[in-house]
Amino acid sequence: MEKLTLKVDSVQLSFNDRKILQGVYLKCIQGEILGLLGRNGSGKSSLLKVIFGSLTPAFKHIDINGEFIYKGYAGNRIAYLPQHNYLPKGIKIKRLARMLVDGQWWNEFSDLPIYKDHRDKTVSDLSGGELRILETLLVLYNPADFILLDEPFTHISPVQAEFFKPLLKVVAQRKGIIVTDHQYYNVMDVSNRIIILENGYTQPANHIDDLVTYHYLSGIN
Amino acid sequence: MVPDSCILALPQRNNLSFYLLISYHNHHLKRITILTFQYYKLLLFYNVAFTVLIAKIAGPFNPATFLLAKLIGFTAAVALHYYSANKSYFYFRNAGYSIRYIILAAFLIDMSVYFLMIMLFHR
Repeated sequence: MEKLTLKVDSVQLSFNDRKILQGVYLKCIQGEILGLLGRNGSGKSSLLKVIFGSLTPAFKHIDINGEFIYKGYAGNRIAYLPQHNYLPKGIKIKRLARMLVDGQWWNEFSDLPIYKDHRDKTVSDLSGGELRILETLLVLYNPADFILLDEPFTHISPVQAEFFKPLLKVVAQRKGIIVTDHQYYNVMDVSNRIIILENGYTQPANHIDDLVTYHYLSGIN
Repeated sequence: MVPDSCILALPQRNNLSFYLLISYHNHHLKRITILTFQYYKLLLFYNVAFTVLIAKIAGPFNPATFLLAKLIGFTAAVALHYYSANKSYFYFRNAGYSIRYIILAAFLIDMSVYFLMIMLFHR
């Protein structure tokens, strides 16, 4: 089966005359994990929201294999894990999961201990960490061709982060994944390529020294 | 001369396409129905509360005042949900649907409730 390629180009986004994104170019091919790094306020989350389609910039060009994508989420082309919790309260986890998980992978997902333990509960019955893991898994098992992960490692323990990394790599065999997190060592650990967002422009980071060059790190120990 | 196999193959292929199209639409319809009822459930308490409040203020029960109460009640519930829980919109987007589409579908359910209540209680 032909691998799909997501291309993002010429995104122009401003807030109150401050240019957030202006020279963005990135490409993600199914089968790879693309790491996106940048300082606070550099526009990482905004860029992911623009790709997903929940934030409308002044201009953008997003396509999947040449087909223009106006709203990434429409028709399950792109799924997105936001920084915040996104599951609605008051509805049982099993009913929410049925709407988000790819039928093809349902058996694998429904065998996961975290799902089996909490399927009859609602969001309010889960701890912050449990909810975050469940939300991340629901996005990873989504039928979308591309997955955007905004800070997947931030609200979970190191042990849980270690559980996620191999799973991310397995999911990336059939999807394209873009991941951003301030735990840059985790991002670098799972990513095939790294891109740095600085002053609204994307720059490829081919070496860890580039993180210093583009002012993401002050130095390397 | 067209071989018999081709004559037979065409309607079979059309039947398969038709079947796949119907299956796709049934699947889509089922999903949008479940998602709409899930969203409607999130609004239900405030929708009922605002509708009853406006209906009480508007005076005696009749189709016009109840329609006004229903419209204001639904709009207020949607607005309150937007301000208090718009982060959950990402759930509906990750399911593949625009939140505007879901709100429109929920509005149609609300109007169905309105017509049902008018038929039951207005003589």
